[in-house]
Amino acid sequence: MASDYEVIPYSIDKLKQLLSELAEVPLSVIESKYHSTYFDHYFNELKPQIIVVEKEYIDHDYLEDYAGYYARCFKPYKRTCTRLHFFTQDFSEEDFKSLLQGFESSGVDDEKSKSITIVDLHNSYLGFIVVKPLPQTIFGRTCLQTYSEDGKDGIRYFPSLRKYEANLFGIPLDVDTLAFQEQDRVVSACATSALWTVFQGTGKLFQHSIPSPVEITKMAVKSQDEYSYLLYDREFPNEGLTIPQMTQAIKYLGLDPCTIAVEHNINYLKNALYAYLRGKIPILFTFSLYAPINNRNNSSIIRSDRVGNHAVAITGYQLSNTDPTPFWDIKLLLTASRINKIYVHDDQLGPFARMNFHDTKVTDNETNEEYDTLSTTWKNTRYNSDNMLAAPRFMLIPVYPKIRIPFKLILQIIIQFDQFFESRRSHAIIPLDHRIYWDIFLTTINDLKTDILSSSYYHGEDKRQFLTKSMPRFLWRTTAYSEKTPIFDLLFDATDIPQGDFLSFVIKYDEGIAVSLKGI
Amino acid sequence: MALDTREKEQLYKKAKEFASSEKGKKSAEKAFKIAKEFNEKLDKSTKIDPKKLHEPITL
Repeated sequence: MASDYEVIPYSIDKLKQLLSELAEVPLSVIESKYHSTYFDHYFNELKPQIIVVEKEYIDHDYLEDYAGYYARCFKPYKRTCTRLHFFTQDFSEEDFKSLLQGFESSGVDDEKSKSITIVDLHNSYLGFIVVKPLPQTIFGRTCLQTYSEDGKDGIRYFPSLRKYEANLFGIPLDVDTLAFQEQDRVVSACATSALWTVFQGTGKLFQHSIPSPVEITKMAVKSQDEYSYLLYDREFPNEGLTIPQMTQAIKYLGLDPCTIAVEHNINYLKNALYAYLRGKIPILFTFSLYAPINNRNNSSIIRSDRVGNHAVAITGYQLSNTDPTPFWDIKLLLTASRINKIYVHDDQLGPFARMNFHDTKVTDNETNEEYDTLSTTWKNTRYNSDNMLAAPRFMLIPVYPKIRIPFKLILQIIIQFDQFFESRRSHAIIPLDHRIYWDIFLTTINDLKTDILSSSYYHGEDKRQFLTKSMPRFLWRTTAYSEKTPIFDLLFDATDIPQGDFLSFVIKYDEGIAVSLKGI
Repeated sequence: MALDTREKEQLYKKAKEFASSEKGKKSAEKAFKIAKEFNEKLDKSTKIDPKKLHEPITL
């Protein structure tokens, strides 16, 4: 009888060969997928030593998709998957066998008892990839560790991660991440895959059931939108979704979709994504992909062909080590201005794929409209030149229904407050040498109180009173800083009504500023 | 910034006097006008174009 597992030393070639065998396709098919190049680079960072191949693995999400579509195909598709586990610890198949035979904790000092332990495996675990038994679209639920916190040009943040547990023949393993999977072009296109990732985060955060891709597509196409059914030949195989269909899927889970147009305001994109993602909510992001025709003059505006619209899930961002740069002509200073790249689960590339903010714009070759862009790692196969560029379109944020006050309202209040504050500071009425900068994000009362409890800037009876005060579950936290020191926090009740007085609380870290403000 | 009572009083008085002065009122008016104009621009730049909502997302 063939073994239920294999232990294989990691190399990218070995991984590709394994995928080719599991998908029963030629190696050239695997090599032609963007994922291969992506995983090569990604695993260069994570540095796995060993792959453990878990055969005949039953994956819940694939099983739902199988029951919803593949089971009724004439061709017999397999209902079980293969799961690949990655470890940084080096060990042999014999070591693993000994562990499963129970020699790990025998205490006997012989050959078999000292190779690897459950703790070694747990500590060196990088996560897993579920390989689906489908031709070509093989990457199922993929839970891999993130990049480390320290980037080359900043610090990376992944606020929406959660713990995923994997039990490998009784060995308890876990990884903090957000699940990724490739669209199968049958029950899901890119929009469904991106929604699936977003729901992985919100499911834990807001306590709703996490639907499989086929369930998401079904929920989305139940849209009341009168045009939706005209866009595609069939619901299944699914070719894609529209924004109204995606909002329908979000509503179906009892969440409220917050739709934000970011086509003509890339700075607003940075602020809004920071505000919600720091509140641990993954964000669905849609953009148009542009293939630059040529850029021989190294111009910052490139004539490009629009290839189509794509959806990804934003799962992280990187803050540069520089000071905040003034936003817009009002010179507002915001932490979010330091974002120089975002990390997205792009079902066509892989998990935590980078998209960089830069100054390059595209001119649409058909409409002559100009758009700001982000760089991508999509290859420009059309012109075989620079990588494709992403022109932002929409952000879709599934929020808990009680979060009623949107980010834009808070930003607009802060813009007013900042202008007023600056008018006083510039006349030396407020004793500060530098313009303040703002950190604006959604938070919960529990996270806020935990943070305030450990703050060295706030103490005394005020702190005790704040920590014991009853407050709403969701809050918009806006912290004003002078250089790197917090001066005050304005806390807004995110569950209130827009016309209400929803400033819940002010935390004063600086007595001088507090007195001056009181005088105003 | 830790302050004694006298310093606090001075800061408070200075701020209050400026707020009620002509100069203070004008600078406040100007600040709110700038913010109002910008917030209107922000509303426009983030407005959803209903035609684009129905573009299929297919890649």
